[in-house]
Amino acid sequence: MKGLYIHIPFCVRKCSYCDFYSLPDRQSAIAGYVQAVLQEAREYSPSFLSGDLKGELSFQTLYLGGGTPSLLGPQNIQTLISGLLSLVPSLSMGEGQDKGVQQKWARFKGDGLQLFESTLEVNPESATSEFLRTAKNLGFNRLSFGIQSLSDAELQSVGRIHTAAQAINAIKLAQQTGFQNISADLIIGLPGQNWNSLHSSLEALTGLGLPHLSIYCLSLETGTPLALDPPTDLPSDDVQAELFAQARAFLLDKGLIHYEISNFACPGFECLHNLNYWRGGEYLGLGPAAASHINNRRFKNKNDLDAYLQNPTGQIEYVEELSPKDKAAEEAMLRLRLLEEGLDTDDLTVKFGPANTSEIIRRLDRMAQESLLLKTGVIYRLCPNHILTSNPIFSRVLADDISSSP
Amino acid sequence: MENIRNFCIIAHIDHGKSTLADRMLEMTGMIHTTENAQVLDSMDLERERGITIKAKSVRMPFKSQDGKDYILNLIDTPGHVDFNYEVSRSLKACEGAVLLVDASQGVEAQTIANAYLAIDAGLEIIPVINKIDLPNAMVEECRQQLQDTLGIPGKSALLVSAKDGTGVGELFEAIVTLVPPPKGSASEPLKCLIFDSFYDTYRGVIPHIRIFSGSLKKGDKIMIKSTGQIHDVDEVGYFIPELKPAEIITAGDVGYVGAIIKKVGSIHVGDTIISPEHPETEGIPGFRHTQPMVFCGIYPINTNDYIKLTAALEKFQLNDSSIIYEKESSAALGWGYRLGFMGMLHMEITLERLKREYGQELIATMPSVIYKVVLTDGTSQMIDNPSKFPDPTRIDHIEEPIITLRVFVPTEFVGPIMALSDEKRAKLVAMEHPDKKRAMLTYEFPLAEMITGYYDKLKSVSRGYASMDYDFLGYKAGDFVKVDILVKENQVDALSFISIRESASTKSRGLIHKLRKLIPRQNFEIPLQAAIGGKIIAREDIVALRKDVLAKCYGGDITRKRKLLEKQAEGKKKMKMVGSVEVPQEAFLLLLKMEE
Repeated sequence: MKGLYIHIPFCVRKCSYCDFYSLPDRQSAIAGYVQAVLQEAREYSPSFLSGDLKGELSFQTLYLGGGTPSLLGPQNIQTLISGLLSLVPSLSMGEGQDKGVQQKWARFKGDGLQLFESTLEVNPESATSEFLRTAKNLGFNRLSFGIQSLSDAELQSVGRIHTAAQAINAIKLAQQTGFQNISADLIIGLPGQNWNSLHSSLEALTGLGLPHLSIYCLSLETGTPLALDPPTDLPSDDVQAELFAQARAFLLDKGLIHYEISNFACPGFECLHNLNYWRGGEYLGLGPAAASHINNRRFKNKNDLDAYLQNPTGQIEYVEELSPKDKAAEEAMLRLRLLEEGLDTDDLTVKFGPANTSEIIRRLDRMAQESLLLKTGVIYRLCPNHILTSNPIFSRVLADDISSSP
Repeated sequence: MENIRNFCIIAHIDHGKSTLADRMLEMTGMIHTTENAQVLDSMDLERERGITIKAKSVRMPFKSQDGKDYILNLIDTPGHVDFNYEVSRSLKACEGAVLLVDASQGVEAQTIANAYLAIDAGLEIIPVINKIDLPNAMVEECRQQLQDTLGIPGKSALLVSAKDGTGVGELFEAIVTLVPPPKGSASEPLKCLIFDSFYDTYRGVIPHIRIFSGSLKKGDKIMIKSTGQIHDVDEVGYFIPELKPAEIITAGDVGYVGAIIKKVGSIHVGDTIISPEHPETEGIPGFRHTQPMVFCGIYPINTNDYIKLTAALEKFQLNDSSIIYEKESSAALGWGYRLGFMGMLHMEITLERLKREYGQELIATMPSVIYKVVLTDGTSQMIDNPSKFPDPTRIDHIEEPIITLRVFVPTEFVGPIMALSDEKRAKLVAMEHPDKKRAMLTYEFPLAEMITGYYDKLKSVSRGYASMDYDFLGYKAGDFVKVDILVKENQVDALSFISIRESASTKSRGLIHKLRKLIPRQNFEIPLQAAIGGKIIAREDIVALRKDVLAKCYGGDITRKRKLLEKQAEGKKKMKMVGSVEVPQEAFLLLLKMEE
């Protein structure tokens, strides 16, 4: 399974919490940017492939993320997608019926030739009916809306440029355009947020019939305006944890599955592209700041739009190749994020060999004894009450325990 | 031998001992300029703290007004209250002592203590009043104090300014005239006192010696009296102050002997070196033996460094035999050592030196004194580690060490000092007035209270004017309890402490409160408790961590995520596990200073 990610590093305005690579006031560069992405894609396309990457490119998922991909507008997204399709013969947006294909993800094995899922991130204010129609016609079968909250006060407090009403209208418009597989992002821990406001956001979104929600806890990232000048009514970590627990209970009650730490879905609507990240799968990222994982190597483009526009194919910032042992630990850590699927240590050992997994399994067993993990046969899962305190658990998966006393 | 003079300088701290030593070295041409450097204080730490920790010696040539050439051996002595033992062993190698008094400060607690040590050792005392260049010099008062407090004729005191050299020439003449030359014959069998030693990576242990009889040269064999070990001498020489090899050193000399003594721990200060040809030669009567009074456990932060720590301690003891250590293990901290020190300052300096000189990071547990635990069967045990206390049902009563503490203080600070000492369970036994402006308070003082910050507080309530000195007095019964600290039901042996019953819960609450701030929140609730036997006397809870999660996947930037987690894992290596609880090393380090 392989994914293709394209980063769209443009925003009308930066939200105060955001430390993703995205620039405001650079929309004039979008047309040129589309050409640059196509140039970078050409570097990787079969006719230009060389060395390790040769013959490796065929994708099953596509994800246009940002920034604000909906800022591309109908014309640019048309150019981008048709350009990609002509470059990568194995890429085809054809198989577009959302749900039927989605339900097969769990049994999916091996590389397919067609895209099973193609996600477009959209922000409410730029989700025009023309843009949504274009996306639908291009074959996108999944939308991810940056909603964050349905309280106008909360939205304003972090610099979002849309209102709750705009958000709801945009989702309805998308549904009218024919999209069913729609996800919304929500943030827990916005200034002034409480269970009342969070509850009404959840109520409204589930009421619209969205089959997928991503819920992120706000974190103050170094250098962001929010971290530099945090408002006094920012909910504490403990309050965030409480809100998260309530949101989780609410969504489980609505029949959604908490399938990954930050993700909830109706059965069959899990995000394939992101699942591939957590399963240690391969993906290619295009655009500045985009990360890739191919042939056991992780590499990432520099966070520099101008440099990218000048030379889209020379932006790799680092290439990381871990030892098999570290790679196995990394995959174990990633798979433990999948709360339902969990980590199958037999699969892990088949992939990396017993020499590289035995120590990891010992660490997992120790944590199972401490009730941090649940163990069922060879499957390990995060204990539900440690979902929000998973970092200490993951770091123990990655590195040796502290040596105990004699 | 007639032209050798072996002498030391004794003084209260900061009365100018090192400056005088530098001036003497300069005037005898041993060094050219002092440039503010105190040559004999070669350790950084000594310079930082302005005190001499390690005794060193230096040999100076001197041409007297009588026209003869003399060899003056200056043996430097440490100048802090904890280091009586080191002073006493240096005194043994001398025939005379220069008793230095700061003209602006007058006689102080250690002036008296050191003077008595020198008088007991039978040394010729040369009283000197230093810093006479200072505008507030009180020469006459100093003369009177010498007379009144020590019975030393104040009129005979020489007036010196070590800083500008005034009077130092006269002091040299006085040393030549008054200090008797060493006795003993070069033709008698070898007998040398080891008064110090250091370890050289290439040449092994190098003892500093004073030869009382016989002579030593390269190729000789020597025997260590107490062990019977025999070594081949490969070098002898003097200190100038660095090592200078010589053909031969003989009775009366102060110098060193190199004999490739590789085994760390085979040389003990106070021991005698003799000739294997005369194994019957008697050892020099022991130094005034002082027992360590303060103990603490030290543990490597990384358990794998235990062997390194062992080697470091072995070397360390060579340079400071007043430190004793033995293996101990702690359920919380693993394998480590129990160290005994002469006092609190000695402990602090030693721990810093261990870290600096040997590159070791250490965990030091709370200091303790030695308690005498009398059992119901009538036997008693000396316990230097609270975690080793016998079961309370077997204890009849507990006794604690008491010191005689003398505090010299300007009269206006008598009130604050008395208030401070009352808090510390001290019993005032005498108050005297050596002069109009100052009082000498004599206390019977529990040593345990002394080692928990008394000295610092004494200095602060007296704005630095108080000086003190102490002697061990004896043991005295009290109502003591052992307090155990439990972290999530697991007893942390390294945090157990002994307290008098009445202040046990106050102390416990303070400790538990500090501990709560030092231990980070974890995936579960952590009760912190203090208990006497089975009875909980203090408790605070660390609530479970609620949120520590990485959510966004940054468009698949797994590397960033992994690095964040690895950083967390790295941080954990600085933790010690107590049961399932991660306790940061700082918790142990900071608690060391928790006593308020």
